[in-house]
Amino acid sequence: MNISTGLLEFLASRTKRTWEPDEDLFASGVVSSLFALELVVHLEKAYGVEVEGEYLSLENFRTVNAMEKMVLELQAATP
Amino acid sequence: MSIGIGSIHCVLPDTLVPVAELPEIEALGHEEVEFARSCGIETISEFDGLASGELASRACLELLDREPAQPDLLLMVGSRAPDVLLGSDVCRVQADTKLTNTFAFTVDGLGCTGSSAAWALGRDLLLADPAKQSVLITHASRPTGADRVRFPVTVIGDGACAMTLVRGGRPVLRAHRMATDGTFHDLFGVDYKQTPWYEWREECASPDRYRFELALHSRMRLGKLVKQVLADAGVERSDVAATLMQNVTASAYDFYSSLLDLPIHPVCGENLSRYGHLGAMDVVLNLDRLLATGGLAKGDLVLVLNNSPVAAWAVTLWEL
Repeated sequence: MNISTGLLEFLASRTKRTWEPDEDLFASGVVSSLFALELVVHLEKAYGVEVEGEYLSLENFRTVNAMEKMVLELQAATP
Repeated sequence: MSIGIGSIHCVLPDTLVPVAELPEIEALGHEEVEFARSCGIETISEFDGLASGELASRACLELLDREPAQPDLLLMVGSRAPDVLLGSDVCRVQADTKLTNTFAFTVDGLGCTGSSAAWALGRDLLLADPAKQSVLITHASRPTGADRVRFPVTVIGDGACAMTLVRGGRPVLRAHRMATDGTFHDLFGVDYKQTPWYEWREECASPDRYRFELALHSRMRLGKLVKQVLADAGVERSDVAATLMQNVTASAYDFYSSLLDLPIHPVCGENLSRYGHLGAMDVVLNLDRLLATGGLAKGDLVLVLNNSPVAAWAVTLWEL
């Protein structure tokens, strides 16, 4: 399963609705601090990356496409 | 020689006001009202008409009644809005308390984390100068303007605290770490220059940035600080008898419990529900109440987390 599909499934399971890859999560109002934590822990566990420093920017989590791009960058940077 | 707490004294009013009855509720938007009703605060403590300096002086005077020694240093954690510009709130406390031989100064710009920074600084100053015997720390919580609901953060209550750090005091300050990130310095602000004080409104530049970006930074920062503090003290997470933090919302306890795998002691939620958020006083009140009622024994370890959206984070390990 590719990253985008996996993230869409994760979001659907947690929010009980479907999402588009370019849909703004923050415009939806679903993002609480606890949900943000769940999302990052999921990204780190599912894709073997560590999200830190400049990657903790809101823009990297705004859409599924943005998260996929960030994960690919982090995976490429991991030795 | 270890440095620890001599005494703690908290001043809280008899009058508690239900959040639902705050005068500003009617003027708030739907989302703000919903937040105020669901954030875990039932009532707030109210000292109507009292200035921060007055409240801090009262806390210090009542503590000094019990512990009459003259502290070498008086360290005030700055209030959200100073009583005077250009003047000095901490020197007003010095004058009120007649601590004429005490040197008074303020720790400021760190929000709630100021109390943790203050006790760490007090400990360091005592260790640095063997001639000094004690430090008195104080803070008073009052809202910035007339409003108490700080959407999406918390609801403000009134109160004041005073505590001393002394040589040989208990609990002992075993380890402490803190950090700041200046990029959040303008996440919250009050445009005080263009409006009269009763129209001051705290503005959050980006609630999403607060709920998401700052939350994730807190996860990273506090996670690292906890590990460092435990390593500094040479203890394990399982050795911690109780964990305390500041009182912002009930959901914040869930967040940090999940984040750090450390259950937040229920005394925090009890104080939150009853008094609201008391700024830098929260962790002092929680520690005081835990020591009075928590069923802990000498040698038990208490971890105190503190953070603020400035942004600043601090973790302290106390040994009873």
